[in-house]
Amino acid sequence: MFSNIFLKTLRDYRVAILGWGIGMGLVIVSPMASVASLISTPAQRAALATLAAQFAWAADPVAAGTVGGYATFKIGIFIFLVCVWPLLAASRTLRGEEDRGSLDVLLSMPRTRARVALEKIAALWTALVAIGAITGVMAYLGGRAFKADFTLVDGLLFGLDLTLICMVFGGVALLISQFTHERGPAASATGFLLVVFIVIDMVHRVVPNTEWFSRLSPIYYYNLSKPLIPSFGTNFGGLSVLLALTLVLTGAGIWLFVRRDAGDVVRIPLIPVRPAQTSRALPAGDWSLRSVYARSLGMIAFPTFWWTLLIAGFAGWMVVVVQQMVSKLSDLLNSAGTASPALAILKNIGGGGTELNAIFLGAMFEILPVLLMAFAVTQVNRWASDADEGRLEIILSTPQSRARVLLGRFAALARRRRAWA
Amino acid sequence: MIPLGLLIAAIGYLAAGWLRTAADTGLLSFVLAAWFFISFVGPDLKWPDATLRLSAFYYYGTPLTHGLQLANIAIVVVAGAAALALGVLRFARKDIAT
Repeated sequence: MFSNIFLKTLRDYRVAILGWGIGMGLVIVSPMASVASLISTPAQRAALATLAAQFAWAADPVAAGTVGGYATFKIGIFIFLVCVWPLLAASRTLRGEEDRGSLDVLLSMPRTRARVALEKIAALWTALVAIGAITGVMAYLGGRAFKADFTLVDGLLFGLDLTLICMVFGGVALLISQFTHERGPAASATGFLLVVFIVIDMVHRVVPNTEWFSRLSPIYYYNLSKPLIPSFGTNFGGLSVLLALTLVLTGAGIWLFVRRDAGDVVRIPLIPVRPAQTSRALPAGDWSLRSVYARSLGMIAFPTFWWTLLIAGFAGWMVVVVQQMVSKLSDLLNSAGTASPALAILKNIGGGGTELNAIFLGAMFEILPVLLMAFAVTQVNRWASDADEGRLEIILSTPQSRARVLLGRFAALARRRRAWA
Repeated sequence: MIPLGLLIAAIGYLAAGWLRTAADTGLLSFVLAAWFFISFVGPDLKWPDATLRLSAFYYYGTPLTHGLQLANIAIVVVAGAAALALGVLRFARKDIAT
């Protein structure tokens, strides 16, 4: 697999292909499991459709009474989490390798810059196609398990739609990274644009006669297709727009890469460029330099603050949403006249209380430990990358036991988590 | 939910003794997704209790409505401590160049 740049780069993405493909597949299958219980009678189906209409700002409630329609609606804007990986990978592909210096070695070989860039980007797009295919197959298998009416082709078209929107944001990250010295600002800017485009797409569902405004967002063209709803189908015009955007953005990014100096940025006339940041020396006498534990506390203070804000905001939003939804949900869950299986499911997840408020709030708050564990994964990633990239060697050359170094980092993580609670 | 977070961190530190960053992060993400699937979709699929117990969320329970189940939390803490201890042992013995 090391015979060329394309295969080597594709090999580097093997974990991401499996992880994101299977993960997103599970995300789309999960709501299918609950809808089978929610739509067992025509009355429940009608009540669900009414409830879904209350949340039209998040996603079009099309055929919400069907398995595919409910899954598409329920996932809503959360499906765009999958765009996080391509925007990180695309910013890392060229700019990230320039940061590390590994691109210099590659460019010293008898290959044109255009070929190097094309092979790397082709590997990234191939990985995205594989992720989309895995997601589509899993959506189909989930649909078969829960008696949905869409086919394997519909599942694969869903995966293709997902792949194309990922390619668009990857292309945006690739283009922006030509104007930044580091990959971090490019990834951040693309992440910000992702959120902005999601909001722009929402506008036409909330404000009448604003579809022209939402057409400015690539998310709008993603939402034109709903392959998991056979009655709605796939809009090949929307897919074509996404493909065209991908080609334009990627082409522009590669064109700029070929023409600029390696390690430098594309300069726009009259706009000053911030110089590349040099490594920051540790300030003498800083409180965090007393021990591995203190330094670890200092390093994770900033991420902890933002994650705390995110989770606290989510918890507060959940309390408000539950209060607004509980009366509508009560109609839905009791519409069958007998004990609702959906209510039984919610009781399983949220605790066997008697008040719907408590049951539903308990179920929603089951998400909080998932967010906390996601933060833990980011910190483990930091530790593992420190070990891989040799940043532990200096610490370990000092008279400290390895156990103390590891436990110091872990203790700082535990301390931050306690501060969260 | 702190013991759950520390458990996944301890597993990650343990796996980092053998795996590179991308593989370690991928493994943890897969484990988290699997636990989530087992706990939130498993009951709908009528999976046996033995399967549901494989997920850490089983031991988290429903503290908002039923309060903290100390015995289950103790299991999570012990599992996390064991993973951390093994991780420390592995880190102490491994060659950091590999």
